[in-house]
Amino acid sequence: MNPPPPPEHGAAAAPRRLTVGDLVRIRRPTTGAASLISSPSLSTSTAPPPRKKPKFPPAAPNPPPRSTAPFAPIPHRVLLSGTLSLPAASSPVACRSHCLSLSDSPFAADAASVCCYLLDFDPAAVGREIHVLAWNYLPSVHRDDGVGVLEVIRWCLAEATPALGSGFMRTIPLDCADADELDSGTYGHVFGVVRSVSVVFSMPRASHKSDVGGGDPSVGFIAEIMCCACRKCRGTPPEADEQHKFEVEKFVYFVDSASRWRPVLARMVGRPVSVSGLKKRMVSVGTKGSYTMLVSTRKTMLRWCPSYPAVVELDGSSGNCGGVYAGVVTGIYMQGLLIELDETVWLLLDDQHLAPSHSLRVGAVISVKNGRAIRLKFAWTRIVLLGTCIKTSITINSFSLVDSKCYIKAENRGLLGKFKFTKLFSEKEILGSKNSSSLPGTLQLVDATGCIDVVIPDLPPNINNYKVVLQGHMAYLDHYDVTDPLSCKAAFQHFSFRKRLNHLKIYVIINWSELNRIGPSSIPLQINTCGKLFHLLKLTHIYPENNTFQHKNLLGHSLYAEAVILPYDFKFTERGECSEHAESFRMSCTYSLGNSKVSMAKSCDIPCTLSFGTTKLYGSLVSIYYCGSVGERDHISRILLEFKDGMFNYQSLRIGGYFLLECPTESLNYSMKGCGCLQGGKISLGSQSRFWTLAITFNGNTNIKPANGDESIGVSSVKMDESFSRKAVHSEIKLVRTWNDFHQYCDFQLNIYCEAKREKMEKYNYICHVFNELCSYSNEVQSVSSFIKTRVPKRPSRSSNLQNDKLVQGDLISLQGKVDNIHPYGCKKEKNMVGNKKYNICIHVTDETHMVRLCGYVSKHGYPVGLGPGASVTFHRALLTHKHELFLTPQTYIEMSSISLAALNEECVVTPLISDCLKDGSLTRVPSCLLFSSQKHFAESRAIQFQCRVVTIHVLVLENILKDSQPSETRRGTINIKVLLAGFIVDDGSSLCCCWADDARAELLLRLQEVAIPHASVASKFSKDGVNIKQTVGSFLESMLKKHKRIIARNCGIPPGISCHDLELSSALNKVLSCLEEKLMKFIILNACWKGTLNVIASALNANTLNGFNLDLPDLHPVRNMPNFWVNQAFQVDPLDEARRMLGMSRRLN
Amino acid sequence: MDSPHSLHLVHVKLLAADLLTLTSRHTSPPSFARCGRTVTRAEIVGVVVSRDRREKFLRFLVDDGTGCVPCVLWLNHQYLNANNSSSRGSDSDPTAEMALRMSEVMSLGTVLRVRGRIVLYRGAIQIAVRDVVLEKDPNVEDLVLLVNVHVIMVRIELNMREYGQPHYHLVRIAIEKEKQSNQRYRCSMLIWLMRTEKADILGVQP
Repeated sequence: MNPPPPPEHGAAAAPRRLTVGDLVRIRRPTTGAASLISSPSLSTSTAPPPRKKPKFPPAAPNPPPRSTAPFAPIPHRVLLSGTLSLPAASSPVACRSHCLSLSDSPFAADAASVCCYLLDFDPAAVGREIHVLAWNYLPSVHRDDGVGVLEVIRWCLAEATPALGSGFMRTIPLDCADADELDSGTYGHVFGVVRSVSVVFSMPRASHKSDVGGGDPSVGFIAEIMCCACRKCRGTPPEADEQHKFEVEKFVYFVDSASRWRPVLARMVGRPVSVSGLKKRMVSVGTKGSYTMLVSTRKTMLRWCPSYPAVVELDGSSGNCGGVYAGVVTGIYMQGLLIELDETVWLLLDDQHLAPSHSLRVGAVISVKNGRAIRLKFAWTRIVLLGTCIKTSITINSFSLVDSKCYIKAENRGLLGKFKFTKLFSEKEILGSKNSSSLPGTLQLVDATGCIDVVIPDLPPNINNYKVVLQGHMAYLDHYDVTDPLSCKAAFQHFSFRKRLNHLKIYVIINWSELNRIGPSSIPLQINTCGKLFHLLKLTHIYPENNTFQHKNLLGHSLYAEAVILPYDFKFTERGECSEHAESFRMSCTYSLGNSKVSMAKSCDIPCTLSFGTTKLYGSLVSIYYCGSVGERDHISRILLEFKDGMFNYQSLRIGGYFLLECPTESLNYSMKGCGCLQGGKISLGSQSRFWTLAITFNGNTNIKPANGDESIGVSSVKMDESFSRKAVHSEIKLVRTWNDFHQYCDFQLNIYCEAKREKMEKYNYICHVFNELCSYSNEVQSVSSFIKTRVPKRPSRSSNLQNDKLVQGDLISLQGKVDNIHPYGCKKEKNMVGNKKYNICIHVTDETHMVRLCGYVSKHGYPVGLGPGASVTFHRALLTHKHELFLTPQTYIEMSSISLAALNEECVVTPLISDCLKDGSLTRVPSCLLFSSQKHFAESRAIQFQCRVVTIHVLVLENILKDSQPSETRRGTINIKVLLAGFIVDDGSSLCCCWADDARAELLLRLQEVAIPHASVASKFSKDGVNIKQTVGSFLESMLKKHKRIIARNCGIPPGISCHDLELSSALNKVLSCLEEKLMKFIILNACWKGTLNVIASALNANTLNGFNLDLPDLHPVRNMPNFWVNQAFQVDPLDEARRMLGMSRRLN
Repeated sequence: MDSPHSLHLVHVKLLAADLLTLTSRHTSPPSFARCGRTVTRAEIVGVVVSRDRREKFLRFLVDDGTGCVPCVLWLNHQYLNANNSSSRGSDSDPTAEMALRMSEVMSLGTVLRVRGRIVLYRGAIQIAVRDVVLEKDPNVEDLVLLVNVHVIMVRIELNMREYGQPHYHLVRIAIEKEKQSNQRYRCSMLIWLMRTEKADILGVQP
């Protein structure tokens, strides 16, 4: 459509002259050349393919020509010429380090200059006019950055005049002093090979030297020059001699005006130069001392040896920053801090001024001198990192034509230290270390590549330092078409690590028994004061993790559990023997027998032993109440346990288990009132708290001596566990130990034994009774079948009063079973799902005969690892309502007993938690199929869902909802009007139909809540405050409706025509609408007709129903035959969701 | 005109390759047909790859990966109004305002959803734009492609006999296009679809 300028015919025509002034007016990336008879080496830059988006590839067997896509070629010959000079002092720092400047003659009419970068630099060109034979021009994207950059691919000198100076050394005509003034006698000079050049940097001047120039920092760079120390070279000028040995290292600081020489010096790396007119200065480097340095003066001159091309070999051995690497840029990441070369080497730029930022683009060939190569061998990949330092210089060998974007941000430094290499896990091993654990049974494994949740079912609780070997598998990678999943590109460009994890569903599970070199668990028992009390607790509930915390932010993170306090404390007796076996055990026998209160309490003692490993200690249980008081069991009270820091071993907690807590109070005195530490209803436990798991046995048995029937500790939990463990097969991974194992691996065993004396027997029987009673304090865990048989919630006592309340009432129960299915639940489409950490899900739980459903919200962090089909779970404190529905509540704790491996392999263990009402399945979705205007959907009375766009508006009835007295400010943010009825003609791509809606649905279809600006005259008239015209469409209507009360718009234009010429507007008060009011109505109707696609859920509407509105509908022929629908719901289209659904639909079609 | 096979009131969602290969009927005004049905209006989604603003119109090209559709948005409403209805002449027409606004959002590289009448201009098909919506979600393009692939699947599935040869070339064109522009994800999605679904019917070698 935009025909290019006619190409010039005839090869003999001279190329058009182009000045720099012409060049800088170009506003898009452009290439040009003085000759279009392309040599193979120039074909990429000069070939003039038409600037069109490529169509389908021709069937020709030849490979398509390489496209110069981002650069527009000038189709005719152009010759650009200008004078090459150093960049202006005002140019950006990055340019001053690398670029030169090409400028028109200052006498030209519109002289201009442009930043340029030359290939095949020759120092002789500086200060002279050159012809640019082939070039790329990149205009600056940001206006502040100047005019852009010219990349000179080929050039020649305009006139072959002899260079300044002759013979061995030639002067580079920089803006230095006149050569005649040079007095080499008083000034130092160096002759040697440039080894490295720093970037231009600024440095504060020593403050006491007022003559050097106030507080301005000095700007300059340092060149490292390996000088020849031979006698000849000490005198100037140096002469040609093959005997030169460049061995002495000298540093020259080019400062102030000489700092502009950096682009020239950078290109002289590896070549001999002579610098004269230098003075010596002492440089102090912090506290490390002073060094002599040669500093440039106003008389400094730079010369080079054209006849001496010898390049000193750079020391590329590892450990030295002397490596040279040349390669193609294949990727630029981290805003230019990480550059991938040849898809193998990662060049890390710690300082962005190291590289010529304009030309460092994907596709460019660059060479890195004085870099430091580090070969990193990880278990899963090998990476060559090319580190840079102050000596590194980066030059461009070939410019990129495939990319015109400059990724490097001008002022963005020091990011490199912040990023981590987030990468994929491969089939290979990954070593990591335990970070922390918050979910029971899980750990978070962290290594340099990221973190991953790990399930270690039989992890001994007391080991903190270890490494875990994991194995994952790589799936889905081909689907995402990442050629090398371990490449830089894959890591930095395609997906974030977490996103990949979600897709891959890497689910690393490892059994502790399969790990090697893990020592036996040791009990960190350190009892320093034997007079201490130990409380006995039975855990009754664990509260699920609160979703207000992030995993990373574990400091100050509290977890909570509930326990009942047993009415007995444990105390060591003096009969106890200090164990030699337990080194950590320090028992000092300072027990005061003379304490009268203790002796009083002692009379209530029940003898027992506390044992761990092979150590057995004697103690006794003392009632926490004064001896002889009645009704001890009535005083059993609950307590909230707060686990204060995240490092606490929360995973050892188990509902129904016993725990021993060393009394945290310091007092040794045991008063009649007890220690008081459990009085507050809550106790905080940190990592320093002494809190151990405890197995209680009676005369060596876990079963209590039968007091009433055959009850046993743990009651049904034990039975349930055993049945589950028997059924456990190899395809299951158990996350929770059986009660037998739990008792076996408890930190302590407390054995209460019965002595033969009669009074002791009574006490023993009584304590058995108390323990049995404890069982009623935790919910009995029911199986699904037993639940179904007995699901009769207790009737609330005052049901009549509470019936009207919306509170859900019922009982909290504990239920155990196997997960059959999990799916998102509820139809409420929540748009901000990413930030929303709660998911509404429905879990189907089954045993072998029955199935029940639990619904409710699960927070993202409280979502147990492994909760998916096949998992055995226990729901503690699920709510059973009076309607026999089961709900998950915020305090429901989901205990995972085992995970099914078979289900894991089916890739469905983690059902995506996307609340998606479209999966509801209850709606018939009408596919918007080309040529598929199936009428059958219309005949059905049930709701259908389809995507459509508003074509025109048939009828619109708007009403004011504000009373006269009510100021509109009271309802700020909402629109004070109501859409009583609106008839929309909509188009779904297959047919037109008439959709009727009111209220919010109509507002959405009318786009009343969107911001749009009508014509200035209308906007200023109807805007709320007269000034702010940027407001929602609906709010413009308010004042108009206040005046007219109700407005009816009838469109007599024939759809799908969009014209508003046939719009009939009438006011309820029979007032005439003003011209502006009419215009506003037209604007609102047109605005709705020119918007995107919406999802509509609608049901068929009988045309007779519309008569009920008592409206005079425009009788138009096409509309008469259209089906009518009533809109039940309207919402925006999410293309990603739609695409996913579509893929699912395609799959089902098969 | 109003037969159930007529789509003349509807903006049919078409791929550019489909639109540009519509059969034109020698009627006045010219009408277009696809598989025996009249198509007079179309909706396409694609990237603006060319833009030419003149005083009375804006011409632009929309590329949806299967072809480039020339579109014209008329901006001469004020002239029409001045001629037709002198009574309204003093006020600016909201239709003209909307058209001007649409012309402003339409910059190179943006993804647009364009609706309009199909017209012939110098023998070539183009869209006389009725409205333009700026699509901000980049997934829209994929969705459109997917919808079209899906439509093909549905059509083949349900009406193969009625409509004869399947139009698998559209999918092939899309695949070729994706290959060329190195959009390998979309390409592989299509290939995957074809491989898993109706490869035998489509006659495409997986």
